[in-house]
Amino acid sequence: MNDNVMISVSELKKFFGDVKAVNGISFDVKKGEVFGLLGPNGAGKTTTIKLLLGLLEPNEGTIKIMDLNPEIDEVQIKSRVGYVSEEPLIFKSLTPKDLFNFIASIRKLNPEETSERAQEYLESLGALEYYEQLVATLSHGNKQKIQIISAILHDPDLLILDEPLSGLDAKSVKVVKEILDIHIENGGAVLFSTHIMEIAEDLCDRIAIMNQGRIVGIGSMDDLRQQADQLGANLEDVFLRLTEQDVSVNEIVKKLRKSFSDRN
Amino acid sequence: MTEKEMGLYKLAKYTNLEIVMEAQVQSSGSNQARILEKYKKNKGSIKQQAFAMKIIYAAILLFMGVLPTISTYFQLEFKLSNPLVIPDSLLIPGGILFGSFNIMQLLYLTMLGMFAIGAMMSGDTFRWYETLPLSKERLRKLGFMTVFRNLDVGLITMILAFPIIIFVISLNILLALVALMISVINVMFSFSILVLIAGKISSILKISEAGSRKATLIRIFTMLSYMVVIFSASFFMQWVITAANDFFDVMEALDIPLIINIIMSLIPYLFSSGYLFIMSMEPSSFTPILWISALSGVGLSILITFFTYRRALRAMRMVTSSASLEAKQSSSSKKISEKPIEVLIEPRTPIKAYIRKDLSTSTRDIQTFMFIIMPLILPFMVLIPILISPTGLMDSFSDDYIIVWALVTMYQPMISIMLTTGFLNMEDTGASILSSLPIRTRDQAKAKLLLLGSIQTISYFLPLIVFIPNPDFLSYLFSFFSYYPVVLTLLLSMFQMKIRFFGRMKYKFVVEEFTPEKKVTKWFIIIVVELLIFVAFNFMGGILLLFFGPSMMFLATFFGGILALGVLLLSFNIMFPKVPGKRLTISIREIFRKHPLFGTVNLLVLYAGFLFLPGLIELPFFLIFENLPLIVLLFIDFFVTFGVMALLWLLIVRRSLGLPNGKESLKEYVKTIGLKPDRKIGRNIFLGISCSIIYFISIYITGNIFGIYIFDLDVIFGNPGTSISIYGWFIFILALIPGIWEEVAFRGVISTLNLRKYSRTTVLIVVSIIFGLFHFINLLVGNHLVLTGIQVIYASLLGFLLGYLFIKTKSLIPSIILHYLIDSLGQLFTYVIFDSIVDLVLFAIIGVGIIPSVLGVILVKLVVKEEPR
Repeated sequence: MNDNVMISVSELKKFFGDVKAVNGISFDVKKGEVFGLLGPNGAGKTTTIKLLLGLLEPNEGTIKIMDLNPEIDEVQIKSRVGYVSEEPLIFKSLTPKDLFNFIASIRKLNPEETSERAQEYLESLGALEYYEQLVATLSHGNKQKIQIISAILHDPDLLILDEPLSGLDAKSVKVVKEILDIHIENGGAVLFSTHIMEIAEDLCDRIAIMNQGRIVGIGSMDDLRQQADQLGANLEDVFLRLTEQDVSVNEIVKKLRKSFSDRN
Repeated sequence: MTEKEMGLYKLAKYTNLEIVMEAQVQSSGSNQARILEKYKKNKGSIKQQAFAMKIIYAAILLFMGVLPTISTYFQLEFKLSNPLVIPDSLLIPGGILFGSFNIMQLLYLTMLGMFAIGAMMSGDTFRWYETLPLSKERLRKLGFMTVFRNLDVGLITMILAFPIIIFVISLNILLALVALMISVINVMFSFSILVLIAGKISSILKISEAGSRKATLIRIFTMLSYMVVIFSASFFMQWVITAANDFFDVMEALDIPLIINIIMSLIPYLFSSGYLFIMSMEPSSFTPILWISALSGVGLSILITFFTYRRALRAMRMVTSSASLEAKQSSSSKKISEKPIEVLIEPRTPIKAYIRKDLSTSTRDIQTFMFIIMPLILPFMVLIPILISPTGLMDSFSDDYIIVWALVTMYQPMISIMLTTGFLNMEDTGASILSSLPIRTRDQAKAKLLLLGSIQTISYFLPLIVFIPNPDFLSYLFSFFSYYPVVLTLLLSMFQMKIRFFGRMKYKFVVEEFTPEKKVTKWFIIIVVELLIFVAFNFMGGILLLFFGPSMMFLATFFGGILALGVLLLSFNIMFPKVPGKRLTISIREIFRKHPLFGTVNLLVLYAGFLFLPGLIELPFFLIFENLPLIVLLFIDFFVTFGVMALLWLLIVRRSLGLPNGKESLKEYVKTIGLKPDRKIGRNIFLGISCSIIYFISIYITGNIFGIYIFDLDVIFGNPGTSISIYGWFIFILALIPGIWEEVAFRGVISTLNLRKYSRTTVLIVVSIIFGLFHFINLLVGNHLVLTGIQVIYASLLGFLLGYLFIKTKSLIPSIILHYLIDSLGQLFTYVIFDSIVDLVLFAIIGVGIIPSVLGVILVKLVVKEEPR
């Protein structure tokens, strides 16, 4: 297999009972690119990510991450992957200090290098003052910051981010983008899921638009615009067109306007 | 209650349900989604749960807190009706008793209440209410009301039970009213104290500014001291109550100066209520001055209760308004920001990191913390009442340390269950971080086990501290140490069962609940198995203790425990392979088959264990029906033993162990062990019978040579019990057991197993000797050592013939017939009287052993033609 391919997914299927959460998707993520999974809520983005990490077992299809199979070599894969989950489910009863120590111990990281790195990240994201406070007492955004730092502490080759920017302030979003850029420049790869089009448009080199467990469009921005048959439109329209929501959304917006104007 | 307060009461319903649900969801670990699903399906289930909890609390409070008071009432009434007793003299012991009851009620309420409202004191429940237009004062009251609603059934029971019962007994309205007043004051006071303590604890758990080691230590010690104070105080009070009852008899004749009674009755809360109550029982017997002082004392109690209530309300503000909480937080963060934060990361080994994580998590969360605290307190809860008990249970036994040992071992399974439940559910909050880390499940499991093992070890050996001054301390130490492997076995088996049933095995954090289906059934099985392991060890220990004394018991539990521990460690290695992904594929069955001698030893241990099983099953039965006729008992024993043997050799050995040739169907198995009649059935029966005849003739002749043979048909045809031999004709039924199952065991299974690896001669000799040596087991049921030794020799010799029959004919039929006839009809020929032990030995070895074997082997050689291999 090509050395440049970090993630290779083919004909992946995952069903929960009758629900076809992921229904036969295929894509590749190469070194040095930011790949976006874009889709409405319930499109199957998070399920796909969990399958990639080996947290779920696929019903059908194959996954290769850095040429390894997540079902067998999960420990090797995880030691080279950083993961930020959708909800900041981090140990509420630990402090960031405890948490980083825990992660460094499990990952067997170098103490000096990691300390320096953690200090830098905490400072640049403005989270240093929370270093010794219980995670439970932190705000959503600050939890998210801690989680992002946890995921990049070991300088991973591949970053898998599930809605990483939700709840972050503008400055932190900029910092995270910067971190991603540096990561890419150093030859890493990023898989990124979001339902916010602007972020995807802004950050991703290639995008897969998911809807109801399938990829309905894949490629660079330009490719997608062509596929949408609406040259020159912004990605929001492309997104809505691809997920066949443009009609229904317009109706909802109309209704909302009406209900507000009736009341006033 | 005013309308406004009614409104609060209704509002409190939602906060209360929120607390119950929060506790449920938190304790369910990663299983949260399923719990929520359950709530979705049955909206009433939270309410039902909340209600059930209330009822349980109410019952506990009623039985522990209120009912003892009633017995005191009867005692007082009895004394008061006795004209010889001076009423004033009853006041002091009565007052002390009622004071103790008050404190008891307070302690029980605090104990139960802390579990109940621990979740609420985090204050999260009130965040949303704050956004509504409610005044701070009302929020505070809402908090109080929520705690009240959480316990309301219990509290109302505590308030009403005492006056109602008093009214029913005495039909005295005045007395009932006094009782009501006393309970209201007590319960209000206790309740306010509960709120204050709960507030304190929650602030300890929540406002810890740093995760430093010092802060953790402070937390642990404060929590510990709270618990120890409460528990030890309640035990002390129990003891006071027991002692005070004797106090009555001492005091009743004494003339107490009035002034002492007046001073006592003025002391609020502790004594005044008791005084008032006793005086209301016989109002005319006491002077007005005493009435005034007692009433003022009660008035003071009311005042104190009111102020405590105010303080509790103030404490509530902490919980109900986030402002104060955040104020504390910001002040603490300011404290930190004074010195620059330096990020210093010191990686440890994954196992150490895991243990640290679990420890700091558990000391910050009251629910898990209970799982650490309980094992440390439980030993004392069990031991203290016995040690200080005035009835002196300890004095009636000579071997105190065995009593202590028995008590301490008794709750070990409980601690194992508690620890595994508490600590295998802790990963839920950090799920995503954990799932992204390259964890080796083995490390995780090891870390958990080390932590649980240390807690259980400390809990197990902790009670020994009490006995250090005891001159018999070494016996204590030895007895505890000998059972230690069993304790670890209990923990390890619990741990493995929990993971096998609930955990995710293949990937990730193994110790998380992953397959929660059929939860109740699984838990039932787990607990039953755990208790069975415990009962097996302690039953074995108990039997050995009875027959051979303590050292035998301790040796047996020690080595039995080591053996079980070894098996569990092996299965631990299979569950958590050293190289992740590559599972250890060695199966125990495979080992047994590849190393037949090792398999044989294990089979024999199993066999010996099963030989004792019928006794275990029948024991309770025989104890109940001890008057059954002997013949019925014999038949019951026969069927149970036969059934147990069939279970062992036809099911367990065949299916579970897959011996001798791997898992087989019953049909194949019967063929393998030679039980299936083949074409040469006639010849085989002939061989069995003719070998038996050789045996009979041999012992008849040699019996007459070495001793005096007595012919008496009663030996085999007499009635059981009255015949010379115990069994009489029943021997023809009883002999079926050794006849069939010993042959299946030694010839069918063990010989076949060993033939997989060794030559026929080797197998023949080795299995014969093993067969003989196995008869040493008769020592355990009390047979004579020399006689058993002789039996071992001739059994080995006969075993050679039996084995030869099996190997030559490839059928079990001849050896079963021979074995059966030796054990049944053979009895007729063994009624021989000897002059000396030498004659007996010669008879046994030559007549019973050598001659029949040699002649039998020759006969078989003549009859059976070697089939071409």
